[in-house]
Amino acid sequence: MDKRTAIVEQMPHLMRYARALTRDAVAADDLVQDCVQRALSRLNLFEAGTNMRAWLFTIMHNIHAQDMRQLGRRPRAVPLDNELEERRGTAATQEGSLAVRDMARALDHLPDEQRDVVLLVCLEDMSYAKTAEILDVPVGTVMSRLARGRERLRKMMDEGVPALRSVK
Amino acid sequence: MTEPRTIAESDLHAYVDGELDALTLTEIERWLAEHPEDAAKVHSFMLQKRLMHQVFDEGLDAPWPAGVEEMLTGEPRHAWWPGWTKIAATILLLVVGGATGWGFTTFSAQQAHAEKTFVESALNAHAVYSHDTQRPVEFTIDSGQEKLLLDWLSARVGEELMTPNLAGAGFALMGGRLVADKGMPAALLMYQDGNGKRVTLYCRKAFEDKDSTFKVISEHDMVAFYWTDGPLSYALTGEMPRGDLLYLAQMVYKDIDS
Repeated sequence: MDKRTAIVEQMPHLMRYARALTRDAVAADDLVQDCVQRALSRLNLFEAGTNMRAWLFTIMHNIHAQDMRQLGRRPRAVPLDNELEERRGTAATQEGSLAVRDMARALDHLPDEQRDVVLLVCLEDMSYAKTAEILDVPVGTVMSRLARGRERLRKMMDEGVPALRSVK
Repeated sequence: MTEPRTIAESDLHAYVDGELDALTLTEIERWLAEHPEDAAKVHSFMLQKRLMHQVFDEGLDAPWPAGVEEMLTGEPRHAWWPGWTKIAATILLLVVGGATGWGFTTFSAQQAHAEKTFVESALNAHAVYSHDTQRPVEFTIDSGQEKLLLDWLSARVGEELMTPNLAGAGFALMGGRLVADKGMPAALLMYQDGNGKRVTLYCRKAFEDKDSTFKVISEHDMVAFYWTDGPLSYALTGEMPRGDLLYLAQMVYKDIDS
């Protein structure tokens, strides 16, 4: 398959992962743009037959980490887009919208390194090995961060999520 | 038989993430049956996954940022089509009525994706709810609650909706319900004729930014006519000959437009 077509196929996943990383639609769009641009500029480095999604996620993760360092702020400084939150609240969700909202907030309270692993494994269905590759850490580290992240989420979901500063 | 080994915490995670071989899988399932605390943990980790999907999955359908499509394809319009569109185009797509300016030339990959999502959701909603004998609609109309229904659905869909009158074709409005279209609220109105035949009108915020003519798609026994008119996209779905459904779709269209 043409490499560009392979990127087009991954676009929905890039859009979702970018929103999960930034929690802000505008920042997510910038991130996707930067990611696609960088991917295209080094398309010759992508080895045919390897995992395009993991390759793109690696690029996106690195750009995001770099952005955060440059901005010198935590990624979760921006509250979830209110409109999105409202729509989510009204959607007939299986688990109930309160739980969904709690999860959104609970993720904000995870340390970055745990959230990175949790999002890749739980949301993007990346294997432990691929997650280790994307984040450039050993597989054992992925597993321990995942375990800690999940325990923390469980505790917050059970005992209540600390309130965010700007929750509507 | 060997004594089953003790299951470690990391095995529980690997189980949730599908990282286990078949042998360990059986061991774990036996373990969980006897260790309710661990089973509760596994359940809660699985629930976390589902919730994360509910939080973020609408990102899958988010409009692509400006310029990305051009970057990827070299031009705004291009030959990349998902398979279903090809099938729809060659077999099922009709342009009906006085079609003017059929907008295929500017059909983009993203639009195709948005359209696919919309039509699939409409067909799914029809398939699930029109055959529900217990509770096909959340709100019934019998007690003159039409306005209540409309206000309720309009508030959730975020646009002012109306209930087209299909009495001329023998179909009466039964009521409606709210359905989720990949996290986006959509309204499903249901009509029934004297023989118990049902059609559904599915509508939500438009998936494309300009009006379209009727398009048609068939799946299993279902036929759907769908179109965009102003801020809303509509799909009328039923199990009947295409010509009959088209007649109804035209009634809906005229009623909404007048």
